[in-house]
Parts: sequence; C-alpha cells; structure tokens
Amino acid sequence: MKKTITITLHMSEIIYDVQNKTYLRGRSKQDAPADIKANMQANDDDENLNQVLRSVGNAYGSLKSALSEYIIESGTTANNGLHANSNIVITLSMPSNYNAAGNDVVATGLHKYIVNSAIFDWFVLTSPGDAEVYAPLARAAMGEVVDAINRRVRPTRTS
Amino acid sequence: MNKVVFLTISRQRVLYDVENLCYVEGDIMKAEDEHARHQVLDVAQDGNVDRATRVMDMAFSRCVEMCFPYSKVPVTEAGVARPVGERVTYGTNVETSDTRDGIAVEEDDIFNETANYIMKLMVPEEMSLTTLNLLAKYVHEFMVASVLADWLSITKPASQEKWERKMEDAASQISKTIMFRCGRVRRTQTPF
Repeated sequence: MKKTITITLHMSEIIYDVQNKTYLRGRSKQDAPADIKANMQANDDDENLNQVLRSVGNAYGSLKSALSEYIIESGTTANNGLHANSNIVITLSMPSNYNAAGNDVVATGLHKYIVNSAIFDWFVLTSPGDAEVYAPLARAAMGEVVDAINRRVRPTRTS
Repeated sequence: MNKVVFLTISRQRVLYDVENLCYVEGDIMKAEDEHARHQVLDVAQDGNVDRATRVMDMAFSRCVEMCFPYSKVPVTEAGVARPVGERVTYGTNVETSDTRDGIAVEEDDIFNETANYIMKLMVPEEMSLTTLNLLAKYVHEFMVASVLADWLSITKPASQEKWERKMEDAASQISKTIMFRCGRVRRTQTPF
C-alpha cells in the first residue's frame, strides 16, 4: 500500500530565509561599497519580491521534475503564477517500504533547495561573485532530498 | 498403489524471501546511487510485483513440469482437477471442452494473483513424506531464485548470474529429489 506524504513549505518562511541570508551576506562584505551591499540585500519591494518569487517558482518546477516518480497529479493545465501568500504543497505517493524517517530530511532539503536556488538567481543579478557559492549548495540540498526519498526499510514477515 | 499429495507453496512467503534478499542485495550496493538501489529494493511494490508474479507463475509451472512423472495430467482431464479459487495443479487457467474432432485445450495469459500455488502429485506409496517435505522446500527455493534472477537482470545485472546458478541448482535438486524412494530392497538369495 502506498504511503502518502504531504509536505507544506510556507512561502513566508522561504522569502524570509532568502531575505535574511542575502542581508547577512551583504552585511559581512565589509569592503564593498554601500550601494553594492544594499543591492545584495533582498527586501519586500515589488521588483525584489517578484524576482525572488519567480526564482522560487523555477526551483519548484525543478523539484517536481526531480520527484516526478512520486508525484501524482492529474491536472491538464499549468501556469506560471506564484503569490507571496500561497504556500507550496507537495504530495508524494511513496512505496510501502519507504523509510518515513526521511520525512524531515525531505522537508528541510526541499526548503534549502528552493532558498539556495533563489539566492543564486538573486546574486547572479546583484553580486555575481557570490552566486557561485549557492549553486553547489542547491545541488547538495537536492542530493539530500533524492537520497532520503530513495531510502527503504527492510521488509517484515507478516506470518 | 499410488497416492495423491498436494504441495502448497504460499505466494506471500515466496515474495517475502524475494523482498528480503533484494533488501540485502540493495544494502551492499555502493551508496552513491540511491536511485539504482531503490529499484533493487522495490521488487514487491506496485507494478514491479506484477513482473515478480509472472515469473513466480512461470517458475511454478516449470516445477510442476519437472515433477512430470507424478504431476502429469492427461489432456482429457485438464481443467477438472483445479481447486476452486486456487492456482494451479498443472498450468495456468487451463480450460477444456470436448469437441467432435477431439479435445480442445485452451490456455490464456490472464493475470491474477493467487494466495497459494498448489501442486498435485500422484506419487507411489514408497515415497517418503520427508522427500515431499524436501521437495516443497526446493520448489520454494527455485521460485525465489527465479524471481531474483529475473528482477536483478533488470536492476542489478552483476548479481543475475549468481541467482540463475542458484535457480538451476534448485532445479537439479528437484529432479533428483523426486526420484527418492523408501521402498524395501529385495535381496536375491542367489547371485545367479
């Protein structure tokens, strides 16, 4: 029997994490001019927020592709809309021998992947030198997710 | 005088052994490729288990055929001895009907899962129960090894040969075991 796992990623947490990390990264660049530091620090202004949301949407699409083996959707339409107040809900239909101990790793890994992907995109625009740090972090997070999702438990004898 | 015996092999127990051994096969794989590993482990999951069932059916039919001297069913009787709701004493979904020109035997490949595989044997009374017990274990082992050889040929080809060898070993043991007897040995009184 399949195990259904529902993972909810709160958009507010993702956006806060992106803003917080970009803020801290900007603050730590002591030698950089003030305007460069300010541009690195993502905020809630429309043009900032929309760019982050677009990156989150792209990362979400990549995630769905990577986890497609376990995602069941019957929809026939898709769009590129994403809102700051809409959460990301991913429902995975896992095999009965899936190791549920990996649930937390999957949830945090998905969050990390989306945040690091969004920061990579953001720094590509505002501080290309820093962007290179975040691409490997995003790949590592995806690796953690794939690793956890493929974990299995030993079968148990029923009689 | 011959006696009728039934060997019952539980599908669930065969499947458990297959799953358990696949777990071990997957567990000893290198950790880098979790996707390849889970394909080995998921032998009894939705979709995959259908292939395992097909191979189990085939392996069981082969076992029945290996016991041919005692399992044979004349074409005229085919379809009569099948227990209701159970697979199979001599094949899969055998149906017969008399026709003016002779006997029509129909076979199909309809897929279904059975709780037990049942082999009906007409054995000589000299055959020992211990022999039948051993035979049932070899049939179980043959079915397990058959499924593993097939599944690993797809998901972990490096291990396929090992299980194919185990499968053939079990087949060879079945062929030998079925010939065991415990009848009296008659010693002649004279060498001439």
